[in-house]
Amino acid sequence: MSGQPFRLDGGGRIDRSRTVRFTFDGAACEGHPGDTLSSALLAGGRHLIARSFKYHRPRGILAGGVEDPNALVQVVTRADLSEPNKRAGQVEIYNGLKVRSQNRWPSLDFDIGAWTDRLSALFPAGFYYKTFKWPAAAWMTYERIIRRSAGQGRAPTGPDPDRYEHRHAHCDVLVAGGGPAGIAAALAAGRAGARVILAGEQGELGGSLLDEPADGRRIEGQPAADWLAAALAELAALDNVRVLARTTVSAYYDHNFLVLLERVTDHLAPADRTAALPRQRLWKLRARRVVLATGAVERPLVFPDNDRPGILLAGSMRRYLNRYAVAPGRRVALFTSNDTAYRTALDLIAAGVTVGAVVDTRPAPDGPLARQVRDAGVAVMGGSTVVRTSGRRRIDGIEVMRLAADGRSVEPGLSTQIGCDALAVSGGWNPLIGLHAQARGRPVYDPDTGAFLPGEPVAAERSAGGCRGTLSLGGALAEGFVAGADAARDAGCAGAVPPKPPIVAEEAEAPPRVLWRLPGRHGRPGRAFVDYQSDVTDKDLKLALREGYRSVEHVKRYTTAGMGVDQGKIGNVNVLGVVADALGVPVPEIGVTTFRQPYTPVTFGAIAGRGPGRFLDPVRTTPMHAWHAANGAEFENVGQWKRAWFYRRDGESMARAVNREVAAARAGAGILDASTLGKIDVRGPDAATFLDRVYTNMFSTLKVGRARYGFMLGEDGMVMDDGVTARLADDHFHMTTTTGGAASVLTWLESWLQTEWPELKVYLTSVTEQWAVMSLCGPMSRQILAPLTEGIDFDGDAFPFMSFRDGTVAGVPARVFRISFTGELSYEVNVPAAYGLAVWQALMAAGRPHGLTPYGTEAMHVLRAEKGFIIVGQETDGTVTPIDLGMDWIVSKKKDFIGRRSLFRSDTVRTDRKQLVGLLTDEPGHVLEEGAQLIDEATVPRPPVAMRGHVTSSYHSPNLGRSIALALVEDGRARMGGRIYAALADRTVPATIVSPVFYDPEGKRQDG
Amino acid sequence: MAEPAATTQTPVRRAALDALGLTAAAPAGAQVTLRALADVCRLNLRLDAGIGAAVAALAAAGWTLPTTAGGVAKAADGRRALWLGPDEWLLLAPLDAREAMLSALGSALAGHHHALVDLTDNYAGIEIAGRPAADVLAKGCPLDLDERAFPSGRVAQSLLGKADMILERRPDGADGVPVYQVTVRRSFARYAWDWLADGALEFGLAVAV
Repeated sequence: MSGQPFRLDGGGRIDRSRTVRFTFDGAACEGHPGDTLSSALLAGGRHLIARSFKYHRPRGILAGGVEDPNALVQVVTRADLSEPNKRAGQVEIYNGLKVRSQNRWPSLDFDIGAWTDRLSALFPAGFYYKTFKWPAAAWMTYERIIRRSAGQGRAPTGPDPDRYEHRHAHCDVLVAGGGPAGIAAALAAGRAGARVILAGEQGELGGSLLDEPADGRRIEGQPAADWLAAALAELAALDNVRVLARTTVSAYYDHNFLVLLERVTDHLAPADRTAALPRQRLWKLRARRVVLATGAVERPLVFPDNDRPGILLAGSMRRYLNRYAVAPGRRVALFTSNDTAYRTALDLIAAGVTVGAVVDTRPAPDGPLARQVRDAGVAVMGGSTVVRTSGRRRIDGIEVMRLAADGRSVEPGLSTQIGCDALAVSGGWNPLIGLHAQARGRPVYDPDTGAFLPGEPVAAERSAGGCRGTLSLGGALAEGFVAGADAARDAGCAGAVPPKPPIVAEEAEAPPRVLWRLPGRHGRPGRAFVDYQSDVTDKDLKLALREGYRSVEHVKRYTTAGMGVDQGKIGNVNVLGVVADALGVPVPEIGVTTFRQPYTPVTFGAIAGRGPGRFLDPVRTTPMHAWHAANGAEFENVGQWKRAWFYRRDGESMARAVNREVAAARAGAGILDASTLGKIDVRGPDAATFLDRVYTNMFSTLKVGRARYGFMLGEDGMVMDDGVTARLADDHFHMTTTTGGAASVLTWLESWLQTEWPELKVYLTSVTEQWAVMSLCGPMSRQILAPLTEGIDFDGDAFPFMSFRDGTVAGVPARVFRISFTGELSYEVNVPAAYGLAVWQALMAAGRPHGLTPYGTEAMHVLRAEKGFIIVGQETDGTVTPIDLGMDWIVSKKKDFIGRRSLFRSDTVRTDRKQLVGLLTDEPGHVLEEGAQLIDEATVPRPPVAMRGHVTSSYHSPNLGRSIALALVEDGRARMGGRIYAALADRTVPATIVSPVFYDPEGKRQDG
Repeated sequence: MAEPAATTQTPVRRAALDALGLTAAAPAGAQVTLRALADVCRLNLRLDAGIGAAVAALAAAGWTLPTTAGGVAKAADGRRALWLGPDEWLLLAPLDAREAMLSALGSALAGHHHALVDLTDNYAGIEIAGRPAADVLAKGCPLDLDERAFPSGRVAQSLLGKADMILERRPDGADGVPVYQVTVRRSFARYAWDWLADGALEFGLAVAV
């Protein structure tokens, strides 16, 4: 037992048959399975485990769980991978665990930063705000230095290799908290048939039941541990109950949506973790009803030098003693304002630890527990207070004096010195009402206990046990049973009744005394820490008040009280008490600070879940994707789609590949995978009427078998989407949309049909992915396609431009459109998607003798730009009308349509709006930057500079042997032949404004 | 070298998941089985279910349309109609029944305002079976998949991760394990498969093809 000198010989819930070895700051430590890092370190006699944030004061383990403001450590996995700010009470030890203390340099025992403590008078609250304010410009320098010394722990630098995930869940009753009240609630709700999730924060469920010694409180005549084991066995046997250990209910949102963090493998040694299991799992839970059974945490007393290592909360000390069989010291003193410490004293005595004295602020402590302690021969010093403690790295004694009747000063007289190596402190209990408050409940102050209790619930939740201020075991169990049964009944389990409350044998506790700042010796108030983690003393709080801060929210921010990793779980109520006391007002008048999500820190990994990596966003591919990939395609992301961008051949550059593809499409034949275009089947007797209303141009006049290009405008008259729509039958159209607009256009059209024009008999069905689409273009396209096709007459008159025919291509039923986005003779072949690859391959084989060249989206962009064809979202940006694009011809004057009215607003009828034009740079080889601003001056004048427009598309055109660009220019159509300058960072590029149609302006080529 | 005349080749039909090149695998202890569903005919029907004559004609053709939200109606030969909305259903059948179905349903609905659209290739189907199947789905589907809320014979449109999904709870498997059919749009096939396979890792994954 040499490595665990403070481990008791018997008792505890640890597995003594095995020893677990770990390191703390490189030093070998040991413990047993069942230990947390806190209990194992205490068993080894280590109390000093951290340095405080601001003053680098030596700090020890104060509490037993996540509320501990001091016990924050860095768990190290690899040199570049570690997790800061882990709560030591939540770290279950495993073989090989490596832990580093935080906030110290070069070592915990000798920390250079501690000089700030010696000079603490110079570092009051607001020190940084005041000191580094002048001169303002120097802040940048100060900040770098301050940043370096700030922060708790260190962020890891390497990538996180662990797996995380999310999952959704639903239940009738969520029970938050695995203590006696929570277990009772889960039992009651589970027996009633409700779907229950019971979430307990620790590795082992039971809460305070685990802290009872074997001969402690009995439930229905059995030891607490036996009752617990039976209850957990019953819960495990209920199919409708799911028990989640190591799971924190960290956030409570509206409509009973809660987020839980489950630590799935954190407690396992890395070697024992499997790749299949996530390290942590975030639960997104909908609960019909919630039972909050989060318990209470103990409140320290605010007295001089109250932060030395070796000072523990009395209830936590009892936990270490009974649950982990760890003695906090050899000779322990206790300091209390309530009966909690007496239970601890009795258990210490039973465990053979010497108890020096119990100092009690109450004048005459004589409840049953106090009497038992006194009967055991321990001095109980009523009406007294600790005015000083001593010992640097660990407490070695206390000095006690009599309190004045009002508790604000000490009586004159001698003090008593008591030697001790540990001090148990209890200032009462703070119910953990964070979740209740997150759910918009308003806490209510109870002056008798100095605690905030849950108020009237707003959400469908109820509290039971310690978090409701019920501190007796019997009370907690009874409330849990009632809450569980009520919650189940409210959730729809009719006839749920609470089980008969169990009989618990326990001593009644005498009332506590509420005192906020306990006095020091006369004229020497000493330093008393209120918020340990942020190093806030009562003096800091009073300074904030003197400087004019009144709202507790302001005091909190000025002093940083409650702003640490622990979110003030331990300190906040004392902050409120000290502030109220100083102002001389009742505590409720101060208000409470906001309880925010999460309850305890949540890792970024858990928040991201499976998000990073291949599941970040779906990658959508077309039926011909494999062919593209196998033939040198590089892909462009278009929304979630991967589209072939260009096909690299023999290591050529992108520019060469695009030039080759563009040239081939005009000289011979090219083929493009156009499957991603949105497609909507429009059917019904009112289909033509409907299209007339949503397109700017007329579709009711379209003949069956023909297709028409159309514009859709938003209600603001701006171009929203474009595409070709074909009439398959009188009442049946096939609409196409842009790739990016596929989903939004369908939603837009459905919303008009369902909300504005429900009288129209039209059904819309998305058929985007039913069809694989290949666009074959170029003078040779007919020769390639015709021999593969049956049932279609390709003769020019029989199959005119802007029409479609049904037939078979390569033996597959196909719909072929004669439409063109390149200006060349062009056929768009649509086949069922399952045949897309087969037909593509057949076309490639048939086209090889004719030099058929696959081209990607980049070549497609160049080809259409040569023709001045716009792309919605490139030439348009939500501020462009069809008239701005010079496409007045597409706007019908004979009918109404969505957006028409807006085309007659004063702003949209202006003739000097930005209009689509072409640009030719003086230097034919210069390809303008897309987005470049256009100005009138050859040299950029002093700002403000009048921006005349911008470049929307710009490419090298191999067919023209020079660069071309499309642009939106103010009054552009009136400036044909005029000069304009693209403003670059270091110079301007002169260009001439020309027609946007650069190639084949007569449109002869589309007929081959 | 002369190219073979393309018209002489039999065109190959490829379901969306064929591109993944899946091979069967049944590791010991696998609790979840994923199966790619290749030969499913899917017809989307939009119709006003208040048109009694149309509903009667469909019934005569062997099709009953479920009218409660999330309902599934079974017809002969493993065919079924999935409720997608108050006026929208997805009709599922073996692939080889497609032509007959299109013609029979087209005749039955002639003269009534409707839209019967072949979406066979618009979708990819994945079956996920196993005791923890709902736990796998719950990693990305916000629906309540509990037996009481989503029993066999229910369908819903929801999300699988970031992909839209039509989720149908099929009759339990021979060994009493739950079976779900996941239908996603074709281009999401790989995402959905990988997503399910990854989510099933902790339970052990078998692949059936």
